[in-house]
Amino acid sequence: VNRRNRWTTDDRRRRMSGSRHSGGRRSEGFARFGRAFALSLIIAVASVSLLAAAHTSVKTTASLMTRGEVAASRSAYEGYLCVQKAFHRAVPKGADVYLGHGPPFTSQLLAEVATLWARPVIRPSDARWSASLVPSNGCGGFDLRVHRIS
Amino acid sequence: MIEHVIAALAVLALPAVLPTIALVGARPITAFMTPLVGAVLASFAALFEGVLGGTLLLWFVILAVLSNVVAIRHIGTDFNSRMARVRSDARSTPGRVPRQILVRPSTWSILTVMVMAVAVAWPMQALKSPIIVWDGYAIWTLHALFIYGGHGSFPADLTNPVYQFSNPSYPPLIPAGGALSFAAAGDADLRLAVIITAVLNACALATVGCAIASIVDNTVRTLSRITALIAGGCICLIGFGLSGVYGVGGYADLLWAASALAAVIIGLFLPRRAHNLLAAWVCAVVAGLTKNEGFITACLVLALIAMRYVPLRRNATSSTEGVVNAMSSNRLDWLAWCIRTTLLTAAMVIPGVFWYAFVNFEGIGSNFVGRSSQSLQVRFDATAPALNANLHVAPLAIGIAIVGYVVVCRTRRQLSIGNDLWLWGATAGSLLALIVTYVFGALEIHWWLSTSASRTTIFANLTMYADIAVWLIVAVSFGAGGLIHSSIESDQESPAQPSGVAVGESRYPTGERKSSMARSD
Repeated sequence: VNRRNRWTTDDRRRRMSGSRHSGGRRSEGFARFGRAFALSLIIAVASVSLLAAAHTSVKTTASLMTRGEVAASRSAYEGYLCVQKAFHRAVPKGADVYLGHGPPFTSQLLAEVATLWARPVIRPSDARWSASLVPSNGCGGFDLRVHRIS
Repeated sequence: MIEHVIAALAVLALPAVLPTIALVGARPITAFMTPLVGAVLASFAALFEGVLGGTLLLWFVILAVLSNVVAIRHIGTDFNSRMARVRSDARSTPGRVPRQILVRPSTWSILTVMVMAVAVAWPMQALKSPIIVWDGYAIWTLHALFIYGGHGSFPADLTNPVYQFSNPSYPPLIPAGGALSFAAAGDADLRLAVIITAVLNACALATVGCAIASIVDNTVRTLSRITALIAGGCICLIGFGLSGVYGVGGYADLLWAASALAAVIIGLFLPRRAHNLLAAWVCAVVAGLTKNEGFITACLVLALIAMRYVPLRRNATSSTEGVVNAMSSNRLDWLAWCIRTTLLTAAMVIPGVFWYAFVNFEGIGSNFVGRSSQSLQVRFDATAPALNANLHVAPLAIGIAIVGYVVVCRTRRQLSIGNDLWLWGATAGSLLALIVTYVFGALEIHWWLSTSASRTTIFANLTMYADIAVWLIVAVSFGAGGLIHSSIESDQESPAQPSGVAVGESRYPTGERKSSMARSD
């Protein structure tokens, strides 16, 4: 209502004043146009960028649910569980175990599966057992080798 | 599995319902902050387990009981004061419609919760398959197992050199949540911990979405509110999009980034109220207890919040008014302000500091600290372009912020949204902290950047998207001056106001506000 009243007043002024204020009116109109343009620009650019980013997110989620991705995740998780089960079968609970032989990734995986079951130690001399993973067709592409250090 | 997830979420969230309501009030963000508060309780339980002994579950029960007793007392006091006001109103003006004693949720509040829940539910579908990505195994579920093992396992495993690869100094919020889920299910199923982490990510993002939707709480314009809802929902989706597989694969980066952003929006954009201060503080605590870079960013955000909330003069109504009158202020005013701001910041960062005190006490090492064989110049030359390549939205966000500041600054003020520079200050500070960490860190820089830069910049990217969303809402609200409620009255009714904290829209003295409402953009 305020706006309508103000515009009505503006219109009345415009009719009453002559060409004396035509320059001011032009600049006012130009400013109003510029503001409207900038507003439209913000709304358009912000809307498109937010919706595009949200759409990318939806596509990302969809890509994680493809048959290949699901199979890969399942295979990795089952491989981990398989190594864990094999380790628990082969190494007695609470044993001090050395995991250092083999590639760094495999010793890290063994440290993960040994958690809450055995006590991994950094030096072979502190261990009663030694465990390592060697590449093969077993659990997750590895075979677990365990031997007792006498 | 689904029953284990429900049991774990119930154990995590139910004890935190009343403490969350006592802290942040009953509003849309409360629904999503409850599991986050539960996770904070769990991380303190883990800390007590590590320091004093016992198990996580024991300490969690003790903390839950204590916090609920305090919360019930606070809510009871609040209820009594409302009742007293209703009675006094009834006595003084018998014909007047009585005030509400219990606050009923509005349609917009219910709609906000529903929109954010739907927005975060879509990415959670990926959890149907057992996605656990590298750090999910090597850090977060591993630490959850340490905590689940009890006092005999937790500190011993963190200090075991074999587990040095797992960054033992990382804070305990996500592992504690995972360990609590193990305790609830009675089995250490790693998938369960990863699902709980993803749910916490979703809750943090939904908190951001609710905060964005609430920036137009004081307008009755439907278009503004619908835009705010959609923008909030988009931010929820964008958070998961920026994180990709890490958002659901057991990583912590999205949680700290979203929590820190929630602290920025609630603490630096929403009006200065006690409940907003406490909500922002809780969000910052979540960020600080989630990851190291989250702690640094949380400290920075809390310092900015303290600067915004502490008035320059004790009798000044707001810090802004104080700054306006800065020319007439003497050095003692400034010194007192610095001290009060520092004290408030220090008080707010204490929960995070507890963890690092424990790390220091136990002598737990960090992979990042040490000397590198690479020169600082080489490290910086690699860091700057790597971070820049991940900040793809920065030019757009800066452009919109500049145009918005020029065109709709007044509408922003009418909506009582805090200055945009607060957000950019937090973003710049976070990026600076990242650069310093990368340049002075110990790891080989190229490998480090290639494995982490896309995740460490989630906060900056998400913050810039949130800024775009806020400017969109402001632009849509253009010309809504006459449709904006004065929130001064509602501020005066705010039940809890900490001493020394400026309240409400005092940035606009009443007269100025009235005149600005009459004006149109």
